[in-house]
Amino acid sequence: MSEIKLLFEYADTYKDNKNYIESKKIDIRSFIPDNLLRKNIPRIPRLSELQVVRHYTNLSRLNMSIDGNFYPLGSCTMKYNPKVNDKCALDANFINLHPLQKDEDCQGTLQIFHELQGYLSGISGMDETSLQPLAGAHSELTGLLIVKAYYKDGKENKRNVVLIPDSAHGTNPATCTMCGFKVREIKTNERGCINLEDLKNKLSDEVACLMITNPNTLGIFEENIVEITSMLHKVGSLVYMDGANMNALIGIVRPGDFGVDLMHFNLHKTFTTPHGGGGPGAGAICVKKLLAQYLPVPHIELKQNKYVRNYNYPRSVGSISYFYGNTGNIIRGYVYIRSIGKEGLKRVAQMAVLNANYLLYKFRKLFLVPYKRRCMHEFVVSAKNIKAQYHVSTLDIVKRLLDYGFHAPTIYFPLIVEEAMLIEPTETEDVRTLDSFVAAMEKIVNEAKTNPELLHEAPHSTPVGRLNEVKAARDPILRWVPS
Amino acid sequence: MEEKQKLPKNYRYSETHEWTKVTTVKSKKKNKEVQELTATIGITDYAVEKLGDLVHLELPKVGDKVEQGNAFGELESVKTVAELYSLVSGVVVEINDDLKNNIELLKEDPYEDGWLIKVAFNDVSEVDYLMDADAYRDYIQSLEPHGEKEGAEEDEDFFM
Amino acid sequence: MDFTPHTEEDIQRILKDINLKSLDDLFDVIPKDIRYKDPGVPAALTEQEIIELLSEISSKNKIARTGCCFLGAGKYKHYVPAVIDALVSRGEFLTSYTPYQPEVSQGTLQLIFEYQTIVSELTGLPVTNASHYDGATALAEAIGMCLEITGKRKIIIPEALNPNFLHTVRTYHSTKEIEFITLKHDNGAINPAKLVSVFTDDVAAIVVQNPNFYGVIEDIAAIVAAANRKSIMTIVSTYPVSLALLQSPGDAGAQICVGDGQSLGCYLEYGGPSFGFIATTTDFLRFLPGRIVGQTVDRNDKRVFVLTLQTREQHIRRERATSNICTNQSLYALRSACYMSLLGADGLRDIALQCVERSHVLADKLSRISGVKLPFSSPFFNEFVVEVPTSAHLICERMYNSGYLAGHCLDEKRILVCATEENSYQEIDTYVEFFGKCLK
Repeated sequence: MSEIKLLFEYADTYKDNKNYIESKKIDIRSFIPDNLLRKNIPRIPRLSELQVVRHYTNLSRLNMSIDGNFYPLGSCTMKYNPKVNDKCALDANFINLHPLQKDEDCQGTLQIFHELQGYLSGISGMDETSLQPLAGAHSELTGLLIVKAYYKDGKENKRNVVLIPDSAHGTNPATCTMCGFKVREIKTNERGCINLEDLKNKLSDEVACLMITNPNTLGIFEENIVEITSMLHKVGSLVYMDGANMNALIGIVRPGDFGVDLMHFNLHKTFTTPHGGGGPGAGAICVKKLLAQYLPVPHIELKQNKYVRNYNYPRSVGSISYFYGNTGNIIRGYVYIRSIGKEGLKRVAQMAVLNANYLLYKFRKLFLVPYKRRCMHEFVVSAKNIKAQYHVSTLDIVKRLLDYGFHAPTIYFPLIVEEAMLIEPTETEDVRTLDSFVAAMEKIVNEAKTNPELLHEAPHSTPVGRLNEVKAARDPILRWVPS
Repeated sequence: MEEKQKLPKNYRYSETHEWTKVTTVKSKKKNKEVQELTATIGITDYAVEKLGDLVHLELPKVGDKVEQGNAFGELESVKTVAELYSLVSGVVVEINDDLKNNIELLKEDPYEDGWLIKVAFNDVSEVDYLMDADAYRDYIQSLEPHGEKEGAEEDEDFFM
Repeated sequence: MDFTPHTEEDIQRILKDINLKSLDDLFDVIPKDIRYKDPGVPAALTEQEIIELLSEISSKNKIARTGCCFLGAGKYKHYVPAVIDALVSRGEFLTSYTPYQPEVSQGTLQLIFEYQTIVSELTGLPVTNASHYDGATALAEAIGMCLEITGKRKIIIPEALNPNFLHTVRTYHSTKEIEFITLKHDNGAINPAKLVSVFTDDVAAIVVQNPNFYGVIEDIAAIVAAANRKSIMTIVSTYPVSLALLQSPGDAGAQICVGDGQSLGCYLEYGGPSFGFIATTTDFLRFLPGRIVGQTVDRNDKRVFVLTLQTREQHIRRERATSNICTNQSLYALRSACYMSLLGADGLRDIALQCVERSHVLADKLSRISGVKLPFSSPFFNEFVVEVPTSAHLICERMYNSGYLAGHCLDEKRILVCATEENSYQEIDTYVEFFGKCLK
C-alpha cells in the first residue's frame, strides 16, 4: 500500500499572500483594528469535495474496526454498535438544539436524559444518576470530587486516602491525584481477588474510599464483595466502583445491592455508543441517596410533568463539563437500552460471560492461566511459557494476530501478570468467529515453535509494518511542516 | 545471568539501581584544610537494560538540593518511566551535559561517560548503607525469576 | 432485539464444554439473594418501534428555523457540509478504538496528525494534543498545566470569561488550594494597562478569552507582553472560526491556547459531543495532557504515525500522571479536519468575514432602534451585547414566538446576540423589524 498524502500536501506551494484577510466586498479594517488582525496565513489548502471524500475514504481503509473485524480488546468492551442508535441520534430535532434554549424547547432531549438516568440508577441499584461526565475517566473525576465534597461537608477532611487494588486501571490512581487524594495499593490474592488481610491492615480513619472495579481487570468477580463493602462502611469509608466491566453484570446483579455507594458507567462500553477511534464517549455517575446532593449541576428532573434543569443544589460539586453531557451518545445509549429491554440486559451479560469462558476453556491449553477459575466477561492469560520456550513475546504474538485479521487483545495489562493478554470477546460475537480466533492463536503458537522469526517481524500483511516508536518519542514530529 | 558490563568494585549500589562513586578533594578554606566530598551518581546497566529503548532524561539544575532517597530526575523509555533517586543529600554541582544529545551513553558506558549528576555532600556515612558490587550482583540475581514452571500446566482442570 | 447471535445449540455446546448445567451457573460466585433484582427497564422494542418512539420524543424539541438562530454564547450555529456526515459515519472511523495498534490504525492516526497540524496552524502554537473533551475541560486542564509548570497558586480570570467555562474550571480545581482572581473589564475588554496591579509574584497564569464572552476582541498581544514581563503564563481561550482573521495566540506570544471546536463542522447537539483543543509551545510538551500523535517510519522506512510520548499518561505514570484523561475526541477531530480541508484557510476566512460583516450590520441596525444601546464600543467579532429598555427576557420570549432565537439573556436588560454565515441579510432585517416591535 502506498503512502497517502497528508491533506496539506495537496497544495503545491504556500505563498505568503499579503491580501489574505482582504475581501472583495468588505473592508475588514473598518470593523477590526489592524493590530488585532492576523498577519500570516494558516497553511491549510482547500481541496475539492471529491478529493476530501477520497482522501478520508482511503484513510479509513487503513483502520481495523468493529464493523470489519473481531476486536477482543480486554477491558474495552468492543461489541457491535447498532446502527439504529446512530440513526436516532442524528435526528435534526436533536442535533440542532442549542444548549442554552429554555427548558420548554428541550422537552424531548430532557425526557431522554431523565429516563436514561432512571434506567442507569435501576441497573446499578443506585438512587440518582448524572449523565454529565463525558467519559469513563471523567466520571471517575466527578465521583471522587463527590467523595471529597461528602467528607468536607461532614468535617472529615483528614480522609485523604483512596485504596486501590494493584490490578486497577491507570485512570483510578491518576484520578486520585487530580482530586488531592493519596493512593494506597491493595494486593491481589492467589484467587485474583482483593487480599482481605491486606485490606484490613490498610483501613483507617484516613481512608475516604475503596475504588474497585468489579468484575476486576482479571475478569474475576470479587467473591468477598459483600464482606469488603461492609468492612469499609464499618470504618466510615465509602465504596466507589469503576463500572468499566458492567457488561458482565447488567441484568444479573446491581452493585448497589452489594454495598457500592457510587459508581460510573461507560456508555461507550456497556451501552454500545461507538468508540470513534478514541472518542467521544459518554459517562454516567450513579450514587446512593446520601451522595445525591453532591452530583453535578444541573440535575435533570421531572416537575409537574415538565422536564427541567435544576441548578439549585448548593452542595453540588459544580459543573464538570461545558454543558450537560455528550447528548448524542446519551441518545444512543437510551436507544440501545430501549431496544434490548429488561430481558436483553440479562442476555447480554450471559452471552458475554459464556463467550469469555469458552475462549478461556480453549486458551488454557495454549497459554498459562494465572488464576485458575472460571471467568466473567473477560480473562487474562500469560504467554510467559511461549516467551521462555521460543523467545517470542506477547507483543510478537498479537502483532501476528493482526495478519490473521483480528485486532489484538489488551496486552501487558493488568500489570500484575507477566506477558499478560486480557481477552474480552463480548456477547455480539458468534461461536464461529470465536473458533476462528482460537484457530488463529493455535497457528501462531505453532509458528512460535517452527518459525519465531516470522513473529518477531510481524505483522506482514497490514497496511504498514512494525513502527519505530523510539524515533517517534526521541525526536517528536507532531505536525506537518512544509519541507 | 550473564554480566554484560562489569560492576566497578569501588562503587556503591542501591536497590533502586543507582550507583555512586565518592571522591574526596582536600582544599584550603580560610587557611583551614577541609575535605570536600563529591558523589557521582549514575544508573546500572541492569536498570538500563530493563527500561529498554531510552528516549528522554530529566535532570535537576546545578545548585538544586537533593535528598538521599528522594527522586532527582526521571528516565523515560518508550513504554515506561523510572524515577532516579539520589544516594546522598547535598547540592548538585555538575550534570552530565553529554547525555542531552546522546542518551545512548547510558547504555554504552553507564559507569563512566554515562554518569548523571555530581553532588557535593557532607555525610560520608550515607554511603555506608549502600551495597558493594558483590552484594548488588546477588541482589539483581534474586530479582530474576527462576525455577518456574514452563509450558501450559497439566494439573487439575478448573473446568472439570 | 439484543444483538446476540447465539442459537440454543451454541449455548448448550459451550455449557457442555465448560462443564456447566445452565447459564445461571455462570454467575455462581455472586450471592444468590442479590441476583436478578428488577432493573426497572421496560420490555424490548423492535427497530421499527424504536424509530417511532424516538421520532415522537424528538418532535417535543423546538429548534430554531434555519437562519433564525442568533443565540451563540459559546456554541455557534454554522453550516455543516454533507460530506462530513458521510465520512464520519464510515464504520472504519466510527467503530474503531483508540489507535493502540498503529499497523491497523493509520486512518485514525493520520487524521489526528492532520488535525494537530490544523490546530497548530490556526493557533500559531507548534504542539497540539489529539483533542480533548470540550472547550471548558480543555481550559481546566490548561490551568492545571500552568499550576504544575510554575508551582504558583494564583490564576487570573477575566470577568468576560464564558461562565460555563469558569464553572467547570472551579469544579476541576475545587480540591486544590489555589486562588482565582477576577479581573474587571473596561468597556467590555481587559485593559492591559491595568494589569500591573494584579500581576503579583505568586500569579501562575492569566486566562484570556478571545473574542471574550461579550464578543469583544481582546488586545492579546498587549496582555501577553505584560504577562511575559512578569513570567506569568497566558492561556488564550478562543473560538476557532475567529482565528482565520484574528492574530493567533502563538504570534501574540501566548504559551497555551485552548478552545471548543464545535464551530468547525460539528452540530450543536445540545452542547455535546464536541471537542476541545489544547495547543502549546515545545517547552511545555511534557506537561500536555492527553494523547499525542507523532510521525515516524515503519520497518520498510515508510512514513507512518503513532501515539507517542505516552509516558506522560495515566496508564504508565498512574498516580504521577499529568491528568487522568484517556479520551481523544477523534471522531469530532475528524469532523474539523474534513471541514477545514473542504474550506481551506481561505474558506474559513470567508466564513469569518461573513460572521463579522453580518453581526456588524445587525448591531448597527439594532442600535438604531430607539431605546436600544450597544454598551461596549470595543471592536467585536460576531457577537455583541445589546442593552434594552424593557425586559430582556420578555423580548426573547416574544422573539421566540415569531420563530427567532433572539440571543442569550445576560440579565434583565442585556442580551448577547450573534450572527454567523447561516443568518441571511433578509433574516437579519426581519429580526431587527420584530425586535423593534417586541419593545413596544
